[in-house]
Amino acid sequence: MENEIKIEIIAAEPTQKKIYSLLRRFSTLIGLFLISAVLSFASEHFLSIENFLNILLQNSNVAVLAVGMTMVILLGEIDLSVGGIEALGCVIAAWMMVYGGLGIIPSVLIALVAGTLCGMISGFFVAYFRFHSFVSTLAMMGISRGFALIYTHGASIYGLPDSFRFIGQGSIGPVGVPVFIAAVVLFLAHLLLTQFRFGNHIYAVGGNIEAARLAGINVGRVKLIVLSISGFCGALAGVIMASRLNSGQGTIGEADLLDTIAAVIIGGTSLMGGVGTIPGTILGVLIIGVIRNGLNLLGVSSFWQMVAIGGIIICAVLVDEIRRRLQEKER
Amino acid sequence: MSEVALVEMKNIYKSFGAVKALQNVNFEVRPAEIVGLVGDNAAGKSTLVKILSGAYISDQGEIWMDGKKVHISNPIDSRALGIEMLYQNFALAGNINIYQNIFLGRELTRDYLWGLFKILNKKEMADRSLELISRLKIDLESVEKRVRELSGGQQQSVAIARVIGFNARLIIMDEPTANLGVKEVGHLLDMIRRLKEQGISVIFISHRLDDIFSVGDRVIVLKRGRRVGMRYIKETTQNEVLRLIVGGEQDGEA
Repeated sequence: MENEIKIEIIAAEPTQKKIYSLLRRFSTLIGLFLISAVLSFASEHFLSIENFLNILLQNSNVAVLAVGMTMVILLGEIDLSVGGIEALGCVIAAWMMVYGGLGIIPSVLIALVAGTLCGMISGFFVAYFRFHSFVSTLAMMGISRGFALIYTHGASIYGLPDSFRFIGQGSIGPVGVPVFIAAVVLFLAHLLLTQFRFGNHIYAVGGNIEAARLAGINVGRVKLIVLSISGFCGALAGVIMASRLNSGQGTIGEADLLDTIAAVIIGGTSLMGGVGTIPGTILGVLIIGVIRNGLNLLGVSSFWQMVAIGGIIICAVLVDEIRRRLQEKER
Repeated sequence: MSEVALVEMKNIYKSFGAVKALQNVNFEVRPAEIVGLVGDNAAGKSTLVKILSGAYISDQGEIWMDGKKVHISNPIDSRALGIEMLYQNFALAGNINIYQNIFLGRELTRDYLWGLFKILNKKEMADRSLELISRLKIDLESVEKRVRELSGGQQQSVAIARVIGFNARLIIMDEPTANLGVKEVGHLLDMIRRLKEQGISVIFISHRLDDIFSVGDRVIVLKRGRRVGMRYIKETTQNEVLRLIVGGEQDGEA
């Protein structure tokens, strides 16, 4: 009798380990399915291809912001300026077209360069003056948002060329153009992180900055480039927004910082740095998007949505902690 | 000294403000030689090897390698000469795997689109890491495991593999046995012997004379920034070396 029990325990152990491992690896995906299942019951409009495409479209700017944010958090840093840079990018692109008399392509390029420069400036202080990124990007949040409002005098810039709408409102087949833009950016970032030396260096700096330095990696340069990439992503999201809104507005993207950080953390990127992937971030963006969409369908006000997203961040960090404990049990 | 020394440090002086960390220190390592560097706290052991590894620059003195004078003003210079340092905390990133750590900062790539893109050559790095690990007879199942998941001794093995993987001729180990268990110290000492067999020299800083006496060829004693003695391990005893460390009489060595 005793022997039988022992055999059972020995046999059960690897299976249990496997279950823990699977749970850990797919917890975000399982979460996404659970939330979707609940919302399917709660609202008859939720479960449709049309609504799904709508979720993708509405969150493509957050997805673009989350690409930069994933890399920044992988370094163990943070970028608080993404919403501000998004607004600045939106306003600069619109201003160049309406008042600057420039064509679409040069206007968009100028906006992208401006966003990259904003990221580069915060990165410069992080890399060479040992600022904490919290401080330099907090300052950049104020500076970029401020300039966006100065350019627009707090109002909106209207009168954008019709063909500019294609970026934000056009579609290829049933799928919106912003979704394709986000997909390309996500794909390129995934390649960068997994197939290039630079991606390797990002993980190493986030994992053990001292080891990275001793291995001859120019740690400051890595931080500078990553924050510049995040600035670029901010401006790109802004251009998408300018096209979707058909105007330049200095007030857009105020909720996007919250959504972006929430998406990246839910996607399994550790705030400690060194751990995280782009596929995880995609899932995180989808979860945030699905929740927002569901709450909209249920008629919950956007103010309550902010409360909900805040609560979800806390849940995500809790889940992360539980995941870590599962991992310890796995060993 | 019939052989040409691999590295020779001559008349090294180094001060930090009013503190004279090193005064007129001479130090030499021959090819495939294991030299123990011992002394009390603040004897200047770490300062001396940091000058060799390029972390500090000496105030006065010369460094010669293979009979030629060299200048080491930063860690890159020293690494280019084949001098590598094994750090006390191993200097590995726990979140990435073994081969990524071994090749960190010198990743192998393959050219795509006529060299426009350099894509990581993961297979080559994994294969070469495996080869390196089997050469050192390190006991690791897979090079794709994250370093965080390894034991302290295994992590140190990875750190050594990382260091010798790139044509190192001299490895400096600063208190390598400090954080290890008894069994792991045994593995490390075996590995040091294997490095010697492959013609690599080792400078071994340790408080534990047992370890130095079990693998070392010579031991050099520092006290308050001065060299106070040198002994061949075969011709001395731990007690004699201990007396040098504590008493520090200037003996009449050549």
